[in-house]
Amino acid sequence: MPCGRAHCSDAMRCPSCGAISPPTSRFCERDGTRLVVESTVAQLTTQVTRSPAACGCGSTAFEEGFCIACGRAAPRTSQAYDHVEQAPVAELGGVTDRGKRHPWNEDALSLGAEVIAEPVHVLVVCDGVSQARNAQQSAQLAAEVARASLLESTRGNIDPATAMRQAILAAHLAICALPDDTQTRVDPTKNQAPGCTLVAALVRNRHATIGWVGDSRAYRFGPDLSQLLTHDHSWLNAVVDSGELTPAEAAASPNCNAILRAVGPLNYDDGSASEAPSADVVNCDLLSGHTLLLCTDGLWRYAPEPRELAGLVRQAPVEAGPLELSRRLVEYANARGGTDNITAAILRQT
Amino acid sequence: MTLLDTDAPPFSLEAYYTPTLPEDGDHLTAILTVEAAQSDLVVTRQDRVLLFIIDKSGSMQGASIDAVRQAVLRGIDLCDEDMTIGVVAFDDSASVLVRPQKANARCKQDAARLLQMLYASGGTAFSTGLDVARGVFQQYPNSIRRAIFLTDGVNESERPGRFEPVLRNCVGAFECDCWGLGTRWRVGEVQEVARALNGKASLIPGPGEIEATFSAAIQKAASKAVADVRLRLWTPQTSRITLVKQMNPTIEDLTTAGSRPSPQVLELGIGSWAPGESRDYQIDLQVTSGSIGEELLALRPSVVFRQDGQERDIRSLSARVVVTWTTDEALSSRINPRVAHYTGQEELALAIQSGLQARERGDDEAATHLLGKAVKLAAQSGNDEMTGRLQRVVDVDDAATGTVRLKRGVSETATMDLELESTTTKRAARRPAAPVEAS
Repeated sequence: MPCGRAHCSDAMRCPSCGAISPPTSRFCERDGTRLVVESTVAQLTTQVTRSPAACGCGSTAFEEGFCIACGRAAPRTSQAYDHVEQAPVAELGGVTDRGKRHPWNEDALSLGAEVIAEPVHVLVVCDGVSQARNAQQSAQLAAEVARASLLESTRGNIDPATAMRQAILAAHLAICALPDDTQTRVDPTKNQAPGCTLVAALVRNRHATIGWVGDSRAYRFGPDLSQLLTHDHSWLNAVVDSGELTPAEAAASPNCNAILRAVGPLNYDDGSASEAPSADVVNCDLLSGHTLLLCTDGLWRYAPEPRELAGLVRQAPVEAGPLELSRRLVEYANARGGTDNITAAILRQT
Repeated sequence: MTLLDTDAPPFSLEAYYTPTLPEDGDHLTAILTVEAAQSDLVVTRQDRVLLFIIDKSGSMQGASIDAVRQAVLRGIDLCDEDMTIGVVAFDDSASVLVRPQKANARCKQDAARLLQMLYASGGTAFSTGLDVARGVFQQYPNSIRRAIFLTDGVNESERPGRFEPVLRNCVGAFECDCWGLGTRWRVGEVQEVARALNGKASLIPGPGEIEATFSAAIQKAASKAVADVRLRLWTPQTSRITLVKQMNPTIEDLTTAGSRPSPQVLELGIGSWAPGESRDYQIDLQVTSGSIGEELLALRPSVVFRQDGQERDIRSLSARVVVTWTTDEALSSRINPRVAHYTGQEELALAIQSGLQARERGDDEAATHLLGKAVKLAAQSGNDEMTGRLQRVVDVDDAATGTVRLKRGVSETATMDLELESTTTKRAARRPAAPVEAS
């Protein structure tokens, strides 16, 4: 039985039906969905939404990134994310970088590795929608919650495609519950309901399951293989797939970088979050010698063809690990202008 | 990461200033450009009410009153049928001659009949016309309320102590552009009314030009889409506004015109706006100086208006004044071109006004020097309209050096017109639109 308290932090809330189950539950008591501990989400939410320290004048009230009493710039917690590297194990690594033009890094990255019967790798990359509020926070929260949910799923006997959809749903619900960041938001025009793209990979037993919403991408590279695994949920793909415009015509439109799906309440005009974002999931083998790359558009717009990115991956010396390789990809994008935030995450299959 | 852009803001705001202050620097000047969106679709157009406030004192009898009749009737033709039009006539008392009504065919018939009965006699007391107009506008609190005021004489029939309180009451009740007909009226008196009511004072040389002037004024009133817009200026405790002026289209000192809803907020009524309309404001700030490298938000402007009963507060990142302190003098000594432009336009206005005053008191040497300086400043800033007006009072030998000779027998019209238009500035050059960049 649930403990009965509506917001018991250790209770388990079902990401599909919303039912509360007792803290010890692994599955929803109503519909059997795999559960993420609410306290994990709460903890992650606190982590990404912590307020800046007090201003020198003693005030703790900030608006648009400045103290509303004395006008001085708020201590910038956001700068801590300008460049973040992760490499939990030797075969897995990634970098997220502010780039050269944007004032903040609204990309996020979360990697995880565990050995549960066999090694499990989880990669999540997100890109916050820049016109929305909580852009940086929603990307970070979505990446962390999806990673936690995917790792959790591997402890049970759940099929990876379902685990992927549940992880994206958990990320979505977490963003929907984010408190408005008015105090710390530097740009007041970023006022739409929050949202981000998400691409995630769950790799187990030489088998990868890729799920995505939006235009962050996954690629698979091998000695004779360079393959884009995802198909962007973008305006450009929509008009080209429907035959409405040729790729060249679509690329010339001001909408050419717009996305049509996102994780978070952004999808809905009224900011409500009754529905889950519609995610796509694909499965593929990831054999020894294969490289899996997840990245945001800050990288792939500088190398739109899979063989271009494959070329960059193959150019790297054999001893370069995934972290070093991710750094090189980020440098590549920065050297070409770095007009957007850049994120690359790599798994080298041993 | 971007989304499809579906919601353009109804106003755009941008501040121009030097963002770096020298060590111990504690003051700066910013130019704030406010622009209403081009598209009518961004805001729902509010109802428009236009009143003519017409002087019918004895001196208007004859050609003047005939021309007014004609101009008002032609004007009603020009109005959209969903505009509300009325006429107030005053001498030493005032009444509603044509009650406010939609500008349709019936309105025109009514107006034609009623204007026919307009008979000019009596003295001139501006306050009577303004007060009756205010009463009429009170019935239209949620509309765009504009008036066209016309007089041809000195405001000489006022009861003592009546004019000032009436004018004060009219502030915010309606906006009013004012015209003096001929030359037997006082620039200062008409300017006082226009300035208080967010309008402009101008000269109509004779009855023949009334119709064209009214047509332009009506088109301006008809173009307005949103009423009672306010400029909200927020400053932190470390920053103080020492001066606010509108700098374009005309120079108007607004420093004492605002209200203070809270100690850190100064609000200024900036009247009604048409789609695409653009104005520039100068704001001077006194700040507590900070340490080198420190960043200070010294001013955050926003444009506030009501739409469908809701207050909308339009902000823009590029309108914020954020300063930092530097030891690099090359950075802190830079002057923003837009700030420099309006400093020059203000100098030009001052040179004209003091030049005309010098000529008035017979100091030809000072007048020659000052009007010469004005010619030079007008030429430098490319203010060709002002150059044209100046050439009606001086002969220009060399515009570049400001070498001029005072003209003899200058018409009173040319002098009054130059004085009235001295504060009309040339708009600062707009930057070409920034190239669209993929993100």
